[in-house]
Amino acid sequence: MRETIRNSAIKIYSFLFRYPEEKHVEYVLNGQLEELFQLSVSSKNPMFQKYQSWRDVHFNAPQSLLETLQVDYTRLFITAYPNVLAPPYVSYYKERSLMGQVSSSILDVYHQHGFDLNDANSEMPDHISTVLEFLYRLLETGEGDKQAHKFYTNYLKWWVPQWEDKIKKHAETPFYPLAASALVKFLAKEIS
Amino acid sequence: MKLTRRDFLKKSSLGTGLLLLANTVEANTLRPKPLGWKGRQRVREIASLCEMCFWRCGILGNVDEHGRLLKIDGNPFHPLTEGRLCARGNAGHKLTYDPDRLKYPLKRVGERGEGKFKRISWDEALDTIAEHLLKIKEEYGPQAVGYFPHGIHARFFSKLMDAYGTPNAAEPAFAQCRGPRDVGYKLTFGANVGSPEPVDFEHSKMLVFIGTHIGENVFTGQILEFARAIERGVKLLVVDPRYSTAASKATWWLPIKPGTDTALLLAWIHVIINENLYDREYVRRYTIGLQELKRHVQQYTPEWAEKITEIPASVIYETAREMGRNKPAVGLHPGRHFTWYGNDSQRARAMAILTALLGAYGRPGGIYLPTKIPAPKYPTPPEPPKPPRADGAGTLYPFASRGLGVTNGLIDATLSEKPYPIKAWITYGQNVIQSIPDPYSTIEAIRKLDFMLVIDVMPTEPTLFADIVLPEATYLERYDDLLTVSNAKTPFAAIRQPVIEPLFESKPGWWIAKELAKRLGLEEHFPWESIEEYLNYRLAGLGVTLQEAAAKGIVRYEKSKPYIEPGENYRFKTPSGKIELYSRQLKDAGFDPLPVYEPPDEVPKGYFRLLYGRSPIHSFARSQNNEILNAYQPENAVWVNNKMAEQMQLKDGDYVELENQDGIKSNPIRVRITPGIRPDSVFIVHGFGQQSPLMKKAFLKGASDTFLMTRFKVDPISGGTGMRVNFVRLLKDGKPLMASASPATLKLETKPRTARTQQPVAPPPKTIPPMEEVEEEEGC
Repeated sequence: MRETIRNSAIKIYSFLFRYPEEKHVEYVLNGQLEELFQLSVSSKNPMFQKYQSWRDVHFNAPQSLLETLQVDYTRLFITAYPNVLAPPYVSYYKERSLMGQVSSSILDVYHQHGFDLNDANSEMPDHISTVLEFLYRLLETGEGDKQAHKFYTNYLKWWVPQWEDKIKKHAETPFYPLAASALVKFLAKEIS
Repeated sequence: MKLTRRDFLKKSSLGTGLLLLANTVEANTLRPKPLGWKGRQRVREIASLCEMCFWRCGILGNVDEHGRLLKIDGNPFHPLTEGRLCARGNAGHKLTYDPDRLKYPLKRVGERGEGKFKRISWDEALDTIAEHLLKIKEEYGPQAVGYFPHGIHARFFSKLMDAYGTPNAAEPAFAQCRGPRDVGYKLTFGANVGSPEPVDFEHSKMLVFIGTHIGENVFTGQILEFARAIERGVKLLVVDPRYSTAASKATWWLPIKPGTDTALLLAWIHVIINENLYDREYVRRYTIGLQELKRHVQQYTPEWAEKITEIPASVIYETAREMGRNKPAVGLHPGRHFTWYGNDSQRARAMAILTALLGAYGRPGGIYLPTKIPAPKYPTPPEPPKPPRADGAGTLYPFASRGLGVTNGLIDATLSEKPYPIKAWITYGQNVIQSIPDPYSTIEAIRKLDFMLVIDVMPTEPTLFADIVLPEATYLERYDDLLTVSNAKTPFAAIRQPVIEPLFESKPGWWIAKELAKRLGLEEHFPWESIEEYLNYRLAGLGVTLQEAAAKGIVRYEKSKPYIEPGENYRFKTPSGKIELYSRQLKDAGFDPLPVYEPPDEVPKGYFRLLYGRSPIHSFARSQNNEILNAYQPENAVWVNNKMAEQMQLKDGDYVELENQDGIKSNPIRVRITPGIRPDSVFIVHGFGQQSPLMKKAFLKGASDTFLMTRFKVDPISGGTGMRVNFVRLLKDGKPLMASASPATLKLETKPRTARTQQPVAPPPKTIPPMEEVEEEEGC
């Protein structure tokens, strides 16, 4: 049961760090994500409470919430002038570049396990969302925790805290700081 | 800890809801891939063209089995660059893989300048743009759209703008760069200079550079030719207030007083004519106006010029005689960035006249002739007739290019709404805030717009003001139009082709233009299904297919004719068919038919003239974010004369601020103390300090010359903006450092642009033919 919850959580996190769509708003407003975040962050945490107040403020304005999330996502993870604020790529934290050597290694790992980037996926292979989806699929295949732990150690563990710090520093909504913080703690707890 | 009932319920059900939630989200970033070893794939080399600056050197992209670009080499088949590549070219992969690059179409949701955007789909972006453009066309006419392109990748979009019907396309490549040069040479020889400048380095006995910074302004092909000429022992004369890289190789370095070059040129012409050092047969056969010129230059003696230029008369005599001895193999480089003091077309005229007197145009060792490449032009149906331009090209500035336009004129028109309102701007690969002087007025004009579209590969200052931002694929990810290079001893065509697939949702320029054309009802102007089909159409003129051309990326055209044959009855494309030493075209338009020296404003006491130039490591304001290039040169420095530095008690490496005559201050900038600059001037490299007071964001280090250019002086012939008319003083700890080589007080004849209300005047007499455009001329 615990493994199933863990795998589901990683699958949901992969979705959360994709560009926001209406489903993201729905999950925020109906409170479903709080259950996810509580797996690793206490509901007493000020970040958590800030998130809940923010959600309540937006309860009657789902459309403006969608745009608020999209604007924050865009500036944190896609484009901001002059520099994108929290690049969600493994390669950035190793080589200060997109598509570095580490991105190639990640693609190799995907291929070795019988996966490739979906044609409709316009993102880099080492985008956080894709990396998390691979981790989820790895765990789902039953290849076990050992492989997942190795992948986590090689391609996630060492950079996600830096990424979380950038998000906390620059985010304009409480959503991404809480989501990133909860993810980082969750991975450390469940995959380690 | 006491639990509330709500907390308890949550704890007890923790996880179960997640399972349900997980079932509602899709995991779709990955797909299954069959397992199996395919064998090690080789790294592929793909030939293409660089675009880290505008010169388009030959490259070979090295790509691995993942489609990942590993490195970029020079293409040995490129006739001009022969496999060489500069630092910027080598760092090109860092542009494509820059984490800050534009990735998806963006829509502004905040205020202009705030930088608040959200990602949108291409369909939404293109529909929004089309809606605005159609509305503006209906309400104000197509002329209400101002368009600022740069580079060959903008060609397809330029076609779209032609089809849409706006006449108002303007590139800083003309009015902020080589416009006055092209006008002066075209008035004299009937042809633009073209790119690269066709100096016959290979056969020159003497090279003459007037403010030409080869080695700092780097085109690898020209550097190569220059280096070979130096190695061969060519005599080199460099006129420059600064000890430039070229000056360090020179036989003569003439540290001229800035703004007095025309006086020096007139004195040289005086000596060459009076001492019969000109090429008599060439001048008799090919030129008109010698007698008028002879009379005109009698007043311009070297002794007269010495007082103005601060170059000893004896040196002026010596160098003029040396040119006479080496004629016609004197390569007088026409220069490139030419917009200095607002009378620049006349300086170009003086240079062209000197070239003609030496018999050097179309002769070995001088300026060689271009060869037209027989690639058919763009297959387009007739374009709509265009309303009159708003920027003064062809009217207020009678000899300005009507193809490349006058950017500053377009900004003026946007601000004044005269002769008609400009409601939208489209910038394409063009940082209008950094490349045009007085950015404060540019921003003011942008704020007046109903709609602004920015198409680029990186977020630049104009992006902040855009309503829609479109991410163009980088030069390594796209096909562009065929490049035809006429200015080469072996002329050639070259292709830019994708080395890797476009990243994210970036799209090539041809795709953007074609898709938008569909929404504007202008699809017939893009009568080809694919870019490959279009390129095959053009390459057919050279007898090859795209597939055949792709391997080397180059198609050589061997039938060149670089020189006028001895005794040939060569007809120049001027109204008289001769080289026009005396210009009736200028006379008819109310200008001096022979070059006249106009003194620049004197440097005020306590100030220095602000000179600016290039770094071999960076391209304009475009490359400072590149990881490798930034590491080599993260900031610029201000060159200060050693004696002046001593007076000001400055040490090398100190940081100062520059404050211009209007009180505008720069970012702190490092001092470089050198005897290699005149005491009346300071020098900085352009493109740094990309920090607008409006943006309030610390960005890159160093100072921006553009933001210190609150004044400029417009050349009335070409519309080019003379930009070396600004003065700065140095501040340390906020206090001005007083030292000056000049006793003049702060008295300014140029006016800030904001105080200028120029209106287009009546069209000039009909005898003035429009300036022809040259296809390869984009970029500067």
